Amino acid sequence: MSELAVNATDLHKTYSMGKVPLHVLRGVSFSVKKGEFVCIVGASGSGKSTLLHLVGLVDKADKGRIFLDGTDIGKLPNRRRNRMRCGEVGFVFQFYHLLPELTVMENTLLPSMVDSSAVGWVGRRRHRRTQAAKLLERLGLGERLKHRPKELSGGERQRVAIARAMINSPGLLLADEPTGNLDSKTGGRILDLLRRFNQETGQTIVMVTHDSALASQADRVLHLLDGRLNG
Amino acid sequence: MYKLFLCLRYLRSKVLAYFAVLSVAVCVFMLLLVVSVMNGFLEQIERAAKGLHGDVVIESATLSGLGMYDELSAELKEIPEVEAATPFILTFGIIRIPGTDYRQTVQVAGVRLAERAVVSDFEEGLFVQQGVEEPTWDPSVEKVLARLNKESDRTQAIIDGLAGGGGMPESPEDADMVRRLRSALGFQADAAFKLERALEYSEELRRIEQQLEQASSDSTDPEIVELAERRDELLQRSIHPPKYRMILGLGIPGLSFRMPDGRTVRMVSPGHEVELVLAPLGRRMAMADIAPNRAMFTVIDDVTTDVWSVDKNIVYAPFETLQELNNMSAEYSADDPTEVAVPSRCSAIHVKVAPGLTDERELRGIRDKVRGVVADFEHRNPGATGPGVSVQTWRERQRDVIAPIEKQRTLTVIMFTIMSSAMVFLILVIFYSIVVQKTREIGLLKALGASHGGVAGIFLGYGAAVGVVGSIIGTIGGYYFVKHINPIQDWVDDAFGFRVWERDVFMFERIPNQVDWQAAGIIVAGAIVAGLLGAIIPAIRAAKMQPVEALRYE
Ligand SMILES: Nc1ncnc2c1ncn2[C@@H]1O[C@H](COP(=O)(O)OP(=O)(O)O)[C@@H](O)[C@H]1O
Ligand SMILES: [Mg+2]
Repeated sequence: MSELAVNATDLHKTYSMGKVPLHVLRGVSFSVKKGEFVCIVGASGSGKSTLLHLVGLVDKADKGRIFLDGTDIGKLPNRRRNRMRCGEVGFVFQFYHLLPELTVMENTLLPSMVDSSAVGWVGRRRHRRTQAAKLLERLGLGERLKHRPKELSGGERQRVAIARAMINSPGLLLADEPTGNLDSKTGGRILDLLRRFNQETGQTIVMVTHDSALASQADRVLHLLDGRLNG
Repeated sequence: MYKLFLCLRYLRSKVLAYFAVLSVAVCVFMLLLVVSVMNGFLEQIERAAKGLHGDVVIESATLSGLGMYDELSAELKEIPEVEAATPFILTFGIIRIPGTDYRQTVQVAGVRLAERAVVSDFEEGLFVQQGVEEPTWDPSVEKVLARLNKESDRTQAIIDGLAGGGGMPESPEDADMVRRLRSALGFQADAAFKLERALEYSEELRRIEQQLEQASSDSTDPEIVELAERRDELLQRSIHPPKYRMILGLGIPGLSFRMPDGRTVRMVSPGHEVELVLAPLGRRMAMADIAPNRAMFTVIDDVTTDVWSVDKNIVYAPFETLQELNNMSAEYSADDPTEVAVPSRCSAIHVKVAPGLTDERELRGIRDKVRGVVADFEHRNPGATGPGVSVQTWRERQRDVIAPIEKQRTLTVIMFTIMSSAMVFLILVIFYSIVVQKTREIGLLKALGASHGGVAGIFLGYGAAVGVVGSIIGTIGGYYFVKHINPIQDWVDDAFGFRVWERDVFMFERIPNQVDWQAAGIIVAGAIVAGLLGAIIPAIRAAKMQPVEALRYE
């Protein structure tokens, strides 16, 4: 067990687009304590998503190490990486990425289905469903359990995405511009929700945004500039 | 869990998936139909071949035939797997109806009825003695008459159906049919009259026979002479004794006819008299010496084997009678009239094996045992069975007929299987496009912790599910189509005047309508495998997708 939810040192990431390599992250180091709400701010194209993807095990760094709750994720076999993605990290994407065929409830339950075998799922289903219903209730979606994503507004969709990220009670919640596609009022509500999660249950949150006004609500704000982070 | 869940959900909500399911269903339907009909056809032919020959056939290479068949049969029955053996004669002849212009060439089979019923399903197709375990050449006349009267009622009902109220139907075809039916009814009435008369005389005949027997020796007594004369007179007017009875194949041209809807109407029926003329070929003689043998018979029954080519050709007579007519009876030594010079003979011995031993390999084993017994028998009774005796299983015997059809079936099935395998590519294309459409969702699943195998599993499961659902639909459709294939053909014939199945071509009355469930199992398994095969490449493609790429953009 570690004090730090995230501890990243000297992260590098280069994209080779055509002949010119694009050095997006040039030695990023930062750490997040458990229970902290950290915001990473940077201009569009500065590499915020890239950084979050590295931390969220969606992508791999070219260089540098990342410890999640004390575990060096660079050295994990694929199986463990998958387990961590599913159980220990919750990811909220800018574009929601809900599955259109599934209802709100089913979208929310998806990570816990990924987590279990068919047999295991049958046993746990009841419990998981009530859990999901509670969570969605808390996010103000209690009435929309059976709806499909296309019947929801942007703010509602993002709240479903948050529910999905939270369903497995991950140690770390990563949010990539969760308000980026929303009007400021709806975006404000989303941020309030995250804030509440952080305060009420001590949820560790790393949020990325290009909006410094939103960022000011966080415990700590980091700036991503020229491939480096400054506190 | 999500794999199952998602592949079922995709199956339900993707229109493209419906097309994949449909293509599988069509292929399963098509294959099931083709295989069922082809196998059914083959099975019918096999059953017919078996009905004609029993399981194992011992046959003489010459027209002189096999001698000592009863002794040989007794020895054959010692083989534990052999249940029965019966002699059989097959030759050619002409039947004639006295007092008419009717003549028809036929094949004449000499059979022992009760044994025939053991060796084959012959009794199932009988008209009067249908299903009787031990049919005889001498069924009670009352029974024959009762059956014939029922048949007349049926004929009358058909007439009433066509021409209600005794008038004539409007259409010339129907009117013609009614005329034919009325004439058939007249024929049936003649037959019934003969049977009734036979019944009437039977009592008196029996009494006279008794008296004659008691009086016996003295044949000059005028009273006895009178009795004998009376007997002959009664016999003349009655039906022929059991020795001269005949069973007609229901389909001999001119003796019955078929209505357009497939119903058969009998004209010459039990009770009628038929003359059989044949050239006796069962004994070696100079061509110039061959004089036809002839005898009068009473038709006592008719039979259908479901094989058109058999039913339209063969009439059946008592084995011993035909043996005599065909000069196959025993010949005695010129010096000593009690010494048998040449034993009585048959054309073939039909052997029936114990039930359950239907497999060709098992049958061949039994055939070899039969061969052994025959060889041993010949060794002990030199010359008894004559030269060139062959022992074959029914399948070997009918190889000329069965083998080409088997080959044809195999070829057809292969062709259809190749055609159906196109569905693999169809599924591949459909799934590939689904995978491309779902790039972002696949990326998301991976970001949520789904493994490569898991993502591939969704699409493999999806493919299998398409196979299963398509198979179920195709099998149900195929089942109903095959079950009702004959009415469907009749309907097509009615509506478009187009018939695929002609009994003259395919030998059988009806298209086989039994679903071959074993084949269905294989087809369904094949369809599921095809679904999986089609899904493999898209599944690999999905598994290889990198989540980041997919997730970065809207
Ligand atoms: N797969 C890629 N190939 C090439 N360039 C990339 C790729 N992904 C991102 N980039 C580039 O990397 C830079 C950082 O992208 P990103 O992390 O999405 O920025 P942000 O989230 O801060 O807007 C951008 O200039 C983007 O064009
Ligand atoms: Mg971004």
